[in-house]
Amino acid sequence: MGLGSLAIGFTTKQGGHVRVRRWMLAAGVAAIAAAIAVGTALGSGKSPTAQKAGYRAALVSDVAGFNDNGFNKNQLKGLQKAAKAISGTAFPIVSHSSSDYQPNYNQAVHDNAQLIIAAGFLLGDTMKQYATQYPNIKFAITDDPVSAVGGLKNEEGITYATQEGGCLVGVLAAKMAQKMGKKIIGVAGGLKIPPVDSYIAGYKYCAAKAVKGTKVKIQYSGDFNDQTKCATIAQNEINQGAQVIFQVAGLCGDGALKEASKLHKWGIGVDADEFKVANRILTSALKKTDVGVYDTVLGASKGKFKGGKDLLFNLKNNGVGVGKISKQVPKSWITLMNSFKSKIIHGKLKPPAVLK
Amino acid sequence: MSTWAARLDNPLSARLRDPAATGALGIFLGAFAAFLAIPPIEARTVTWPIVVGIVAVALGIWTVSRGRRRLGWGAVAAGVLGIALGMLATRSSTENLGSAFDATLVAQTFSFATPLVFGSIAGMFSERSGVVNIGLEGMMLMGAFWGVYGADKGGSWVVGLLVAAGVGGLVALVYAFFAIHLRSDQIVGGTGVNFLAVGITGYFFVELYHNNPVPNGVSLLPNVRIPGLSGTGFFAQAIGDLNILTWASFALVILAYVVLFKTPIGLRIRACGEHPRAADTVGINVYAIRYGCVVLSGILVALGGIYLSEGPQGNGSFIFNMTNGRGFIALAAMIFGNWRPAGAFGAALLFGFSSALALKLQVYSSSAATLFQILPYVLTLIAVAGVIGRTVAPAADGKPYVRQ
Repeated sequence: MGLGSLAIGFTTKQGGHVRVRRWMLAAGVAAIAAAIAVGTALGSGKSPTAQKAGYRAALVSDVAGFNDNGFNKNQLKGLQKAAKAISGTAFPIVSHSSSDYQPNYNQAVHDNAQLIIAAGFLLGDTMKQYATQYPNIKFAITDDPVSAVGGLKNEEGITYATQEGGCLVGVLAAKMAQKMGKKIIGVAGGLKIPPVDSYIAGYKYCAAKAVKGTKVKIQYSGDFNDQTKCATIAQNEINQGAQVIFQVAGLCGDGALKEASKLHKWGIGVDADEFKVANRILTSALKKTDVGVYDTVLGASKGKFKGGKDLLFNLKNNGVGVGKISKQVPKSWITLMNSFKSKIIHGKLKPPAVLK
Repeated sequence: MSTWAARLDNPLSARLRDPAATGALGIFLGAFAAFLAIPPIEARTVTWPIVVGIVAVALGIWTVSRGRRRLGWGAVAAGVLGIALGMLATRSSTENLGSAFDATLVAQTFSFATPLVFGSIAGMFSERSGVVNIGLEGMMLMGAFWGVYGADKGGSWVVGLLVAAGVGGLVALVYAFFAIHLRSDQIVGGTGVNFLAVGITGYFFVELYHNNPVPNGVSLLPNVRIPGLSGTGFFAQAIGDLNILTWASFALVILAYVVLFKTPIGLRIRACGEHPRAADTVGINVYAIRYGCVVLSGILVALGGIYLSEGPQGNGSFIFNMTNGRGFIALAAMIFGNWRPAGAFGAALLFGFSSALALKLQVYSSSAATLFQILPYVLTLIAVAGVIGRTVAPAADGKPYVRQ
């Protein structure tokens, strides 16, 4: 009854129909006008302060956004801390899909950023394009050497020796698998790209060094967000005998950690300290992206931008490392891990960065 | 003599002489040829896949000669593919075969298919009543977020389920108002719902959880353990530990078939989707039916959404835009299944199977992972182009109804 009468109201009273529309049009125009007025008022209020603020640094996130488990989130922290330290302005710009990259770079250029940092390997192509187009703006990229993005004079690579962190967690994983009775450990990777594979290469290399005969199962989900895929990979690898799952797949990998805990195996987190993600986390391989971004912004603001070169963050300068370690790990394993660490720092052990 | 003639008139033998049946049998045998070489049958010689494959090809050629060309060539292709895959499988090591094609593949197929089954049946109710619901993706996302939120704050997965269903229904009601009353373009309106859901869930996720993930220990949708089916047997691993919503999705397919095709209300729904004016003249309230179906569709697809966040692989977590296109895949499964419950179920299982298999196949080569991940889409293309052919939508699907 109610539905019918309403429908009749819309169809029969033609005059009323039109009048409603005209009224709505008027209201719409008024609303837009008001919005523009407010916008310009806010804008005019903003611009003088923006010009006063010192160094202007922008950070464009990758598809995971700034609310991920650490990779982008920590870079944002580093940016904000740096902006505070030099009383400059931070422009964090979030991307949700790869089609956001170009508009976001346009936005950063439009904001007159002096330094634009790409939050990861995935933004490489977009960065290269803008670096070529705007030689007066400085560009930097997390996780990629400058040679991979054209090697231009206004580019800087922020690279991490993640194979070194991967190596250390590989030692613990191998020991744990040995203790649990099967010398098999697993990896749930995201995409098969160099920054993911460098973690895995170090993990595999040192696991075999720590416990002879340790086998590593490596599978990729093809995704950094979809937890169901990584959980399935963890399940498959555990069915094949894996005792510890090292996730190198961002948010997707958290699914692998939870699945490993559920099946009473162990998980190892990546990038940030993921100790709280699930109940059975052995440890995490850290990539301190906040340190990298902080140092890059500070360096650039002081005119120490190393155009065409890479900044390297490793165990030695504390740019990579290990997170909180489970209490079930005996001290002797930690001693063993630390011996690997000092060997790497002193150059006696070089875990490979490329997966063979 | 007379018995012989009677047997020829028998509907069963008449059916067998129908080229459509032989074509379908050929396709089935082609698939079976590949199946012979993998566990649990696992023939280690190439003879059996080749014999069965050749029979499939022969049936295909016969079907082509009888005029059903598409089906016939489909059977020929299936036979050749079956022989090729069977030969590949017999060459691979038993260990790799065992880990790629184990019983968990069945369980994972159902697990990947569950949200798609809910989504496609949801879309079917809406479209059978004459409203295109492209907003399935958004409603699924709303179900995923508000479901986990309800389970977290309400302390039980039951609360989560109710909250998800409620929110899904509510969003669908808003969409129904636009699509049915305001007669707006349904594609545009549905796309609006999708964007709205991404924004709303993204905003409230940050707002309610303060930039942190959903805490551990949320009450999850339970798995149903079948008494007597436990341990490491094939059936125990395949169906002994499926989620409650997976079982519910099986029931839903049957229920949807009975409701749509065997009850008066189903007849009314279909009438509204085919010829709303005719339905109106015999006294069916087209608006009420359409509103009811769209709201039901929102409720059902939201249940598919909560499976993503609260199911056995979501483990009580929410991720920005976590549906990742599953709503659209569900829509495709519905079209693929020709707006019929069993067809949509089969299509959802095909998607689920190929997603699960793509991950399993990595035991052969992890560097080819990206290549394997195109498997669901390639299989879909083959199935749509080769076998299914034309699908027919309800005649008044997507057309707003104006009462005279």
